[in-house]
Amino acid sequence: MIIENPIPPYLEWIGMAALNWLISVGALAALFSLIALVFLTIRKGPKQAVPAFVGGVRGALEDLFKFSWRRAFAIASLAIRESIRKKVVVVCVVFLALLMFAGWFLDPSGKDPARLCASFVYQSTTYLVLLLAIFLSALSLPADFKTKTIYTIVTKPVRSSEIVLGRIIGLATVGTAILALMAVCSYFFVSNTLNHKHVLVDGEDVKAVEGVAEDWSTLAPETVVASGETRLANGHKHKVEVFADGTARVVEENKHAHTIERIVEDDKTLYKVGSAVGALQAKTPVYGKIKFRGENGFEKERGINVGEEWEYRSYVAGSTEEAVIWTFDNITPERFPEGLPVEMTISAFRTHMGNIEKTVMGALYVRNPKTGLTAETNVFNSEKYATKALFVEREIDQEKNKVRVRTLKKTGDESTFDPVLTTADLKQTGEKYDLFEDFVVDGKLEIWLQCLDSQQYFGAAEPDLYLRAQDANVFANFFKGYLGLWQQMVILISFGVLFSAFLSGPVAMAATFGILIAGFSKNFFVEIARLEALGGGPIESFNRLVTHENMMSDLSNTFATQLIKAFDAVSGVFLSVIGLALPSFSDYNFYADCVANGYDVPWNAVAVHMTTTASFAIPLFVVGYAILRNREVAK
Amino acid sequence: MESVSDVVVETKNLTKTYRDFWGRQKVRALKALDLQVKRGEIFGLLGPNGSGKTTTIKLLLGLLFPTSGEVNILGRPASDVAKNERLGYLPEESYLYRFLNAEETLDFYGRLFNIPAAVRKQRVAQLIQMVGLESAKKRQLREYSKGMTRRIGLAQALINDPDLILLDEPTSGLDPIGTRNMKNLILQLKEQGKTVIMSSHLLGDVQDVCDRVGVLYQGELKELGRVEDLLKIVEQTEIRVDGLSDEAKRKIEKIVEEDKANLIFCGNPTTSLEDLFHDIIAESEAHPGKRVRGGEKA
Amino acid sequence: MTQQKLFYRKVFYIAMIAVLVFPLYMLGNPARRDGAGGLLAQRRDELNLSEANLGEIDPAGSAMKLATFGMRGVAVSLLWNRSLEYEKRSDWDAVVATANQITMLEPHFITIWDFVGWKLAYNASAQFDDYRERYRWVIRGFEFVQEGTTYNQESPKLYVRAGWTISQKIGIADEKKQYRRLFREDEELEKNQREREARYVNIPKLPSAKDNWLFGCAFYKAAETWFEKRGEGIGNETRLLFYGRAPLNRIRYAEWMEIDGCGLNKENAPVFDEENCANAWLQAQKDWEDYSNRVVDTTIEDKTNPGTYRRTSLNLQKEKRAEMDRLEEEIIAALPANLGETAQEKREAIVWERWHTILNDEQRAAMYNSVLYPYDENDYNLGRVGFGARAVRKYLDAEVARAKEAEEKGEKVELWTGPIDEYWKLSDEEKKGTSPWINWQSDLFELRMSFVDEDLRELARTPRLLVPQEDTKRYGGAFARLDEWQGRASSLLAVTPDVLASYLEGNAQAEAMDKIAQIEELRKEESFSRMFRDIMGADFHEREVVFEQTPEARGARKYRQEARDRFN
Repeated sequence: MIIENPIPPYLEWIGMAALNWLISVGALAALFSLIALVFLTIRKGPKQAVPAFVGGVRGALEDLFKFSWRRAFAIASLAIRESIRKKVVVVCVVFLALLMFAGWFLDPSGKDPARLCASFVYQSTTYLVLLLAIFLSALSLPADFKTKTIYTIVTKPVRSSEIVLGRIIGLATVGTAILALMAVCSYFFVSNTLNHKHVLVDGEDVKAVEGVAEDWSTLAPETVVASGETRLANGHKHKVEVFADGTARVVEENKHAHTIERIVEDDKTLYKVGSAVGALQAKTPVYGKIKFRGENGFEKERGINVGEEWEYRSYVAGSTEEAVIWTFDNITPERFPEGLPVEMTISAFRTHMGNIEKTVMGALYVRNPKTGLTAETNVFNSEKYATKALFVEREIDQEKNKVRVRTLKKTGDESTFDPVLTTADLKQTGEKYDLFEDFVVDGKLEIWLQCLDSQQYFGAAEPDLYLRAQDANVFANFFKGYLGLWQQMVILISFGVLFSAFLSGPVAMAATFGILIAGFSKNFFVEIARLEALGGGPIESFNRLVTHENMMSDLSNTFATQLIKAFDAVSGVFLSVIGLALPSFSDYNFYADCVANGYDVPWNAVAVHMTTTASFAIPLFVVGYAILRNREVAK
Repeated sequence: MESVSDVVVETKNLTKTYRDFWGRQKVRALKALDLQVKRGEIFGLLGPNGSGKTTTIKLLLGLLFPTSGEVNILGRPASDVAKNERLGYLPEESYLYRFLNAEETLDFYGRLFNIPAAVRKQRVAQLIQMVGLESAKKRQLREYSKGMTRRIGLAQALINDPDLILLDEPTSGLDPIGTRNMKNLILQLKEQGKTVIMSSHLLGDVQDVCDRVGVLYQGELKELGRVEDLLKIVEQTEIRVDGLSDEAKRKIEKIVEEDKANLIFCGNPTTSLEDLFHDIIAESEAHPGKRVRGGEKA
Repeated sequence: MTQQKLFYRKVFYIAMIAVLVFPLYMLGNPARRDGAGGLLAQRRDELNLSEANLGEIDPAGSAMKLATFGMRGVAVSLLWNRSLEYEKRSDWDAVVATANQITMLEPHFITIWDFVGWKLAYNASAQFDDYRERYRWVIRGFEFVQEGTTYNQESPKLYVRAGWTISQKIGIADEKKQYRRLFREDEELEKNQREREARYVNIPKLPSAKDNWLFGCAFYKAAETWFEKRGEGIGNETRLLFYGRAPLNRIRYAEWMEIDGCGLNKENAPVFDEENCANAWLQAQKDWEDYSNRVVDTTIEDKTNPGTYRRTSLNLQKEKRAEMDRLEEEIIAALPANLGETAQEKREAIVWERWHTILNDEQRAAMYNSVLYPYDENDYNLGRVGFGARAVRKYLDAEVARAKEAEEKGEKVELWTGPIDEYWKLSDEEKKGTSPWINWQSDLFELRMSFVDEDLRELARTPRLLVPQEDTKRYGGAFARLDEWQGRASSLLAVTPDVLASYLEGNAQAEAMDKIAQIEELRKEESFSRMFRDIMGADFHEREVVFEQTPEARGARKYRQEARDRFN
């Protein structure tokens, strides 16, 4: 899976993050206090200002910390009932209708149908749920103000904090319920779409392997006695193998396999190919830390750039000493009793056509980080853009697996990446090695990747090679995927309630919608605010749009242009502040990406994101409360 | 000398000016109002439309913030939410959630007072009984008539058994029966020792019910005092006699003449239309069928 | 208002509605398969506006369009940007999915079908390592464009793109052998195509021979059909190029048939069949001829008739040339009999005459006294032109020799010292060596030496020839004169029609002048057409086809040669 910004472990992250948060919140609070003091001084005179301010702060603290949960929940249940009466169920119906339409243009014959299907359902759920959240949250409070039902509330001993929090909780509950319902429907939709069967006819599609004995019982049970291919379905076929013990196996294709039953009746053999298996996965990757080895044996952060615009991966040259190195930690026999299941998605870059019929070859090595003992464990043909699975056996038996081992040897210069590994150094020593005894040191292990074809290159980034630990539960993972959306929804509802505390319904809706759009393109927003984007700030960009100038050319240096640039610079300051306060919604797409690509959502990520969500929701709630408190309810 | 704790509502120099968007003054709704309402009395706020009655009520409730001056309710400033514990408010229009039914409404507001569930249930039943909405308690409020709405509003105002009740135009828009019921209820509340503040422009109702009255006109308090004191026409005497013969009537006329007083009126007094109305209704309920006029009562 | 009046009013309204419904039906009846529909539908049809004309109506697409609330353009722009992001990350599945979404929103936006189809077939496929995957992506691109044609049945551009992809990308790429094999064995493609053909009646059909060139041909033909129906749709592309693709495909089909057979037999091995190959070449020749005869608009404006474009065809050149030759023959035939009897004799006589008029006495004498041909003045009828040409050659040689004598030797040597010294820079061993470069240098040296005077050659064979400065200037003019003579020679040897006309008089000359004028006109057309013919023909005539050949295929080769000869 592609992870451009890896999420650090929670305990590492929380310290700095909490500090940052406290600083920003503290700064904001100080700013507001200053403004409040100035305001009060103007209104009430300097003598009265400070006690008024202190009184205000005390009242606020009381409101925030002594509020009654019962009241908040009462408001919440009211908000729920209100939303239900708004026929929120219509949304679900729309979603189901959309699912039906989806079947028409989702093509299950692609290489990775699960991914397409899953991303589609996550996307459409996102649109619907977030729009619903905006709709509900932005119109809820203003409705109260309009119908004046707020009067009856405010004349009860209800704190503003309870009103705001109750609303948020109530709306979030409604949203969660809808989300859960949609999640269940999506799961069935996805399973349904991915499900298909193949036809397999004995004699036509499956034929006996040439030269195999007639009587299968004489052969070893794993011998392949017949093979063939299923018929076409969903744009692909599977190869099928029949074993001497009468069982059969469907080979994985397009990231899934099928169950298969072989029934012998009278003289006929029937094959029943069952439903798809393994289309949706929940792999648990164990990542290592990456580094590169350059030409001279020096250690580098990044490899060569072959000219790709997207700099996620960097490359090493083939048939040289260059290598990509991953260092893994915590490798124990308990976790990986039989060996290391390695999966990788590396990219191959050819400088010449080479052998058209074959893909670029590579080799995988394990290396002891301390002593440098290296064993070449797998030689393979790369599969660009696909995930290749290799298995590093625990027992490194040179006879059986034809691996070569580099014996220990120290070279002179300590400053080079020592020891130097060249393929010339590898030889067959005839010994047997155990992965954990000979190669793993304190749980650490290095895995090296090299390209073997001259003048071709292999490219990798840190998440491109990982060890596959025990798979997680697919069903649970599918729902975990919705956590991202849930968090987006909560933040959006908080924003909606905040805006609706002082703006009218439609205006609050527009403002919240604006937050949604800006949040999804937060990086772009901040870039524009800081005038780092191509084409300048907002007014300058607009100018370029209207006058048909492209992004690269400089505008002519007239007075108008200078005015525009000055304006952009000033407004950029304000926009930067807003930008910093924006939540980065696109980060939450991580969950959907995980599930769509077949990976387990790591709990670490969940913890980090939840903390971030709370760090938004809480200040929003406080600001919303403050606004409501100081608002004149009656007009 | 009244003790301070007897003063339930106190305003000092209370001023409210509505400003428009640019900060200029638009309307001076209330000008330096000084008011005190004592415990256990029914206080009426009188005035024509636009005199500032509703503004005063909203200021008392904390729905508006005063431009200057102070307002204290039950010993706390109006902006303190805690005062609402002992407060009940019946607005002129129904500001209740129309998608809830009567029971749910009262239950909801009861929860807002942190009233525990069992007590709440009992009180809700009681109040519904009291306002006479037993038959309609499961219907949503959007289906209620005006009278029913007013009644449920009253019920929610009383859910917390408040010490101070504010009524904004309690009798406006009600039919005579409703009006009478409301007035009886207000008097009942007084008997229970509660303080009632009501604003109205229906002079008759205020006269019937209130102890003290304040008259507002264009934001200023023009008159304040006990009703009977205000309405007493000191110079005149009214004598109402039952079973007086004509001869005695002539004697009284002569006494008045001798006293050099002015006989303004001597004859049959009129009952009020309201009383007549109520009598007709009561009779109709007791004896259904076409009413017989004059003399032929059963 | 009484009850009765109300009732009558109601009846009146209903009657009016019924009356108005009829014209509404006439106007608004939508077009159906079996009927043209009402007036509006017919107008829509004429102006090519309605959906049912342009292709399929797609419910999912309509739903999506509605869902964008009129901001279709914005949505498409956003999706397009997103697809560029995906492309940057080489996430090709997502690119396809996004492209699908865009086309669902804007199915009549031709460029997207064209561009994305090309992108998948060329860019996406190139990024994959395994050639089978590359093939799949080429086919994906092809099928994408083909889908575009179902939504835009009248767009020639899309047919061309589809045809181009399936012909060129499969047939000319580096992996052409592999691709052709995969194409032949591709069951899925065949199945999909047959399904399409069953659904849509008028689409290009996959030929039973399952050859990609033929398949592409079908698309090109479809493009031509629609182009002719619509009168436009291929932008500013030269029509000659446009119409030339189909016949070229046929040629390539025939060529490839020699390489990997006419089809696959049961064991998926290629089958070679002489008769089939011959037929293929014949068909190719026929198609090429038809194409050569087709007169089309070019994209070059006709200056005599502003607003229109010049028209030409490949065979026009031949026609015009033939016409020009005929006119010239007529002029020659009109020449006086004293020049000779046959046209050839007349020509030769004229060449001789021209030489006579141009050369002065001395030069002529020199010619007469030339070594090669002892000249008899009375015999100048014999082989005049041949004599003339040879005499010119010899004369030129003599001139050159004279020039050399006239100029100083040093100048010539100066001219050549540099290059000659190149040779002398080589070491002795190298000079003795036999590498091609050495040989070439030696040859060059000898050639240069041949320009140097006899007595200087000896000197030149020693390095660093030192020649006095004055001598070096001598030979400079010689080559200028040589060039001049060579130029004049060719112009003298050429007998153009106006030269011929100068031998005529009076009426004959006037007629000849007319014909000359006609010839000039024809020449313009001829050269115009020849230009195109050279461009198109270069591909066919001059390209060397180097393939492995099986013995069976060689038999068909003779057909190719015949066809080629006929084209020439």
